[in-house]
Amino acid sequence: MASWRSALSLTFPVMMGYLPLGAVFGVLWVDADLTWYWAPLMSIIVYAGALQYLAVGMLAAGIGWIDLAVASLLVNFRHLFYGLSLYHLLPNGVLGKPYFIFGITDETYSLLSASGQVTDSKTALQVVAFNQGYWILGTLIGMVLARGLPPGLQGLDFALTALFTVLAVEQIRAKKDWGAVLLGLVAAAVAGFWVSDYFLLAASIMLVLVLVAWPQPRLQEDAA
Amino acid sequence: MSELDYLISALIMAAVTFGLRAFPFVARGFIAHHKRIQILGRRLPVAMMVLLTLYAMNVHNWSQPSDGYAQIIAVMVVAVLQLWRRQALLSILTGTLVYMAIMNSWFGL
Repeated sequence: MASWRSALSLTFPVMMGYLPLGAVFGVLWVDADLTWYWAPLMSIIVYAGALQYLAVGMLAAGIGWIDLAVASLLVNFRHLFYGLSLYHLLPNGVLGKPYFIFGITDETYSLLSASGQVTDSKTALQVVAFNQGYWILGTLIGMVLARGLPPGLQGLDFALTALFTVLAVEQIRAKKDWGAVLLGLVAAAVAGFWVSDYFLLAASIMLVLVLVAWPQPRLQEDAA
Repeated sequence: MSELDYLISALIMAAVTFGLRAFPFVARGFIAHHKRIQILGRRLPVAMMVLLTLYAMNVHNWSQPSDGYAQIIAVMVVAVLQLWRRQALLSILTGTLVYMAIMNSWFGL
């Protein structure tokens, strides 16, 4: 009974993050002169923080569908692994199941996988719904705030860079994989020097190819 | 952009993202037992976040005099704060304010 109360209190830290981060998305969207009501629609239909930030610049610049698909794939590639530790929480319902899968963001994943506080799929689904609610609400708050910002104010879009910096620091802290860091830097340098028009696409293809093709000691045992 | 452009953009982003989130539920065995996929999963996010940070810094367009120094200072502020306090929101907001302070000459620079 009243398990939504426990979902509400569990998701409080996510709310503290999603309201302001959603608001930054709303501000960036309005600042980029994109059609206003598509900001909340993006938060409803797409629901992927870093990708939504990235898409603001891409859509404003009129970038192509393939670039957008590649960006989506790369920015959210880490989500490919989240489901592995959430299988026990997957609801059975025809709507509940896809909605639960749809809502596995970074923060929702860490809440559901790490704590052990959520043990049933009903609460898990409520956690997902609350979190997306905060994100949509944050987006709307940002759209309102954007109207009140002084004109000519520069640099709010640095929030995207800051978000990726935080994600990079956390990835490096967790994995301590300096080879991968170096690879990211080299790919950026190579792509920036030779194919700067297709920077992200070229550099990320390099990353995937090198990581897949690079001989791995453990793989060689495997192949035998 | 037309309404159709917005709709297609949203659907592309949603479909790719949903596909990634759904894949482990559909193909558990493939991910759990495929070594190269697992290695990719462990190493790609590290490299990717470094690359995305540089992309967001717009480094590939830095041939002309630019705001590069402001970006570098602000990124360092974010990284140090994140290592020290591990409060993502604090790091992001402080770094953004530092960048805005430089770009809008709030310090009279």
